[in-house]
Amino acid sequence: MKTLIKTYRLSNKMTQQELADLVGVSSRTIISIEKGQYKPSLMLAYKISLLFNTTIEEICCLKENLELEEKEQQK
Amino acid sequence: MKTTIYEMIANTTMFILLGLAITSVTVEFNDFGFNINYNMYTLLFLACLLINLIVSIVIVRKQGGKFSDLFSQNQIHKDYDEREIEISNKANKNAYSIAIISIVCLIFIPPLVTFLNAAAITNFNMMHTAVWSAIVAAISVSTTYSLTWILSYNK
Repeated sequence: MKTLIKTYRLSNKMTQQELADLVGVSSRTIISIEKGQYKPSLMLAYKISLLFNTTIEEICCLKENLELEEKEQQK
Repeated sequence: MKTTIYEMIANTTMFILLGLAITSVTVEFNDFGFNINYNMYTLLFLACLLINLIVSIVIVRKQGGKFSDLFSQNQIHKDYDEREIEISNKANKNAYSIAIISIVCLIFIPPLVTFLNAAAITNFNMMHTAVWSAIVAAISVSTTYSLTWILSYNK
């Protein structure tokens, strides 16, 4: 799943460890989310979106991901 | 992660030592005027058990837990985040599958050994075969859990 977490984190000059500590997960979890290998839970996505002062929809690229999912289902 | 690697090595060593302790011969020692029957592997197993207990206590204390937390599975998961809990559940599921397969195999090993011995194809000791089969099964379950954990965690 594609997310904008890395973009927001870098624009806020934050390290993966700092973000992990702020939202209460391990840095490996942040790495996995940024790589698109792990889908964060609703609560974690909400915590991250609150931290960056944005919405879950924006940070998790929900519209884009939904379109991709629909395209894959059609194939 | 480091704890999981340690657990995998410690468990494998202890299972092998347990197997050796059960199946190896007891040595009689009477140099000091009295007889002592001892088994080197039993002593090694007990030493490993003690070291493992001490290391486990140190790990739990380092994580801010208590001695009783050693025996509580839920307490160990207290420090896990959502991804680690998911990985742990996946590792448990894989280890459980291996355990079921191992139990099924263990049921068929004694009749198979009896048949092979009766047919004079092999001459396996039933007790040794049963013990080592159980040890291999235990190592397989433990290793499956740890490897699933390590491989999923590094993704």
